[in-house]
Amino acid sequence: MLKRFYYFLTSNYYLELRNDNIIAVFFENSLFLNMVVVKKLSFLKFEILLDLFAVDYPLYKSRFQLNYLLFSMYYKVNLLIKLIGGETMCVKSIKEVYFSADWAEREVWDLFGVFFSNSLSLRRILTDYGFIGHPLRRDFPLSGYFAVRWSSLNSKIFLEPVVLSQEYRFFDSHNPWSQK
Amino acid sequence: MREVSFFKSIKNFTLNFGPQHPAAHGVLRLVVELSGETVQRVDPHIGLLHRGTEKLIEYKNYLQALPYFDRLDYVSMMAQEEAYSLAVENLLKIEVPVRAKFIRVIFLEITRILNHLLAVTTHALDVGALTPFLWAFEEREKLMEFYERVSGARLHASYIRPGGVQYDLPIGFLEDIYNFISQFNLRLNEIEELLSDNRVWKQRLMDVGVISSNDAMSFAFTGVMLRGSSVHWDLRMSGYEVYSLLNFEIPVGFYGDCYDRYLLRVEEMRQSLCIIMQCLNKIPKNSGQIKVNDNKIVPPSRNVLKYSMESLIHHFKFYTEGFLVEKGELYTAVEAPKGEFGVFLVSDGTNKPYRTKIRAPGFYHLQSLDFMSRGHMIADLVTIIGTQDIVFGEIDR
Repeated sequence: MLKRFYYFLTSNYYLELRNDNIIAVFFENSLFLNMVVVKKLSFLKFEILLDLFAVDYPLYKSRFQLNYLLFSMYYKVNLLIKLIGGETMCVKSIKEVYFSADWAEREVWDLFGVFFSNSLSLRRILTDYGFIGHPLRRDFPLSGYFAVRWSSLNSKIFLEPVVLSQEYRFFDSHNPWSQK
Repeated sequence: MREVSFFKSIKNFTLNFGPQHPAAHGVLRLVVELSGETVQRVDPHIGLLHRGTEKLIEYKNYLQALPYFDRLDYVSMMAQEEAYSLAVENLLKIEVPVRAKFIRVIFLEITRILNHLLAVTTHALDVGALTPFLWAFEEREKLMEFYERVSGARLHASYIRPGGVQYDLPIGFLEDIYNFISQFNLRLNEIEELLSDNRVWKQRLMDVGVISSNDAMSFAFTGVMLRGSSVHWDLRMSGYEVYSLLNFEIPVGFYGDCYDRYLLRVEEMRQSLCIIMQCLNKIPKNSGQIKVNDNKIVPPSRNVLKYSMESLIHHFKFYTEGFLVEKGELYTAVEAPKGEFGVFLVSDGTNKPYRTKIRAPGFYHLQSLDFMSRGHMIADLVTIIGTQDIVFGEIDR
């Protein structure tokens, strides 16, 4: 099955095999096409898009890794497709191919700011209405920028900048001699 | 003079459902477009319980990240601890002792019963039957007592940890579980007596929220929602922990409607009883470790702490720095009561996970609400929310 897969996807990619996840790395150009291929072709049979998420590596030039986690009910195997791109990356939405991609794409847009073209419903999903920023990026502070407070005097909600009396203590317990 | 139009334009009625509606199972806000009482479109607004678990975990070490998993889906706590612990164990490439595996499976199935009792009976409550709810909570209380006896907490147990389970079972525990099992079947019968053949219950559930197997897969349904549409798949079939040693059936629905899913949940509870029973017979008695032997990964026993310098150092290092996990990334999933609960862990070789992606089954189920409820009456919308078994802790994360 792997050989067939290897044979079929001939654009720029490479394959790695880890445990029972097959991992393929793609680049930006032909994702939409390949997704149609992955789903439709009868011998691949990856009918389920289990999850779609991003990982942020801010030190790299292409900082985002988009991961498409697929599952084949026929072969009972997972497939992880990776897509690497920078901050301006614009990925084609695959929600016509997989219905489940819709909210997953909204989540990635909300939390990472990765834009999906041809998706009409790209709104924020998990964060508050009117939220600014993309909180799961590594350079977004844990405490956020704004705090919401209810004032019973004014019967109003106030949005104020976060003021910490003490900076968040982040213990980096990295020690050079334990690294192999 | 004003021009009089003879044609009235009729606009659809837009209703705001929730976020404080009791049938919304938490803080679900729906913007429902109605034509009369028929649902035209549903737009779920989620995120009102968003706590940023994934972000918080990036700042915690591997042990401190564990309790966050209890609080995701707060009615199936241990299933999620299990998913996380398995993920960490797979990254560390360690194998848990057999007794720990059996203890885990016992508690995973107890968790399944806990969840399904709540799912079925709150569903019944939404539809209008109060009594099963009261009965089920009596049973849930007994089950949570088992949680309490091993971990000290009724809900957020933090009992299943990377490397095994935290404490061994107390004396007489397995006997009490046996006593529970032997009476629980009757309780299930009682609940079924009220619901399964109930005319109102059937009318409200049958042919409501039908979803075909292809659509179910395209919406990434897992668990009962997928099996209701006659797809025979359960992650327990892949045999993580000791599921490969146990015999159990995986019930599958036929019509893919809410009634099928109700029947599946009840049947799964019976199967869970069967699994627990087998575990009681097969678990290594009174002996055998409950944690791996590596004190870098699990804390040393309290008894040796006073005498052994090395244990003291290990204890200190474990609870301050935590343990280091090799570089790598891995997706691990378990069959949580609601569906496939997966954890994708990215480790950069330090004591904190670089990125944790939590795959919550409810997130994908709720997404299909629009699809499933179109053309139904607004009362059926509540039925569909109930059958999806939505808990907002995991959806909003």
